[in-house]
Amino acid sequence: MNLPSFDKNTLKGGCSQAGSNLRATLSGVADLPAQDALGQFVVRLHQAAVDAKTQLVELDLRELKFMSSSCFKVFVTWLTDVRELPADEQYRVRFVSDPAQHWQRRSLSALAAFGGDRVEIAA
Amino acid sequence: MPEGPFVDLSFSPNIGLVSMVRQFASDFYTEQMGPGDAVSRIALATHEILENAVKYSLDGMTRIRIEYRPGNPGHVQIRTWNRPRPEHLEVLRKNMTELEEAEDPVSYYLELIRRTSKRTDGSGLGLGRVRAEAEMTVRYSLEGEWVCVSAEAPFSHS
Repeated sequence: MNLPSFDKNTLKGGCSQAGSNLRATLSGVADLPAQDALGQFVVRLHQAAVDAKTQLVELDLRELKFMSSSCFKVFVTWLTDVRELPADEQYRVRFVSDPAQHWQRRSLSALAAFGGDRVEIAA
Repeated sequence: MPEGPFVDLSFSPNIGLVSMVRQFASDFYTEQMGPGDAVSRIALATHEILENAVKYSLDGMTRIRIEYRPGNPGHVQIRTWNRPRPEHLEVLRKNMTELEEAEDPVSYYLELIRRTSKRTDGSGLGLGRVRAEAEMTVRYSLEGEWVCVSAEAPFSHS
């Protein structure tokens, strides 16, 4: 499987397979200069999840120091793409957060409210 | 707002400087208020309104002023100035009208999130995020050819 990774400006991302699931990480700062790279990473992550018939993609954000709305939108688009898959191809998305980074609680709560039962937040 | 500690910066638009200024603002308010959720909210607001100011600047100048009035609670005010393109000023007017008329900032923010999934031109989320996530009041005013956008709120010490 061709799993995505990137290192652009202040943001890094990677992905590995964990059994039948995918485990991805983001670290650094997700702001406007990193938006395109993040968008391409998430598109490839989504495609890898679909190709592998994955049940769960876990995205570890514990080393993500900040995310601006320009990059937040990338996640909104991703969750929309997941919801638009046929029901039997939809996978769950679990965001792993760091409670000490207060912005994550607020931003991920909003994403969870948007994403519905396909989205989980783990601290 | 009576004057307390403040920092006033002007710079030529460079989107890469926004994160640097957010970090500077975090350090400034941590010094004033102590670390914690309040500073995280202020940093988010600083980043969002400054990123907008830089992105939509017509001619190359952006200014930001961050202020803190000590008290119990203290009061935080962040202001940015730019000279926007006319079409961006219209978008700002429309977005601010919607934001001010929204009865519930969180419900309105969720509506913006639903809308942004279909947008191809920016996220349109920044000001709604400041209102809902940072829980700060957002305003704008015209000062000649400059537009000032402010975010402010009372904050208790951490």
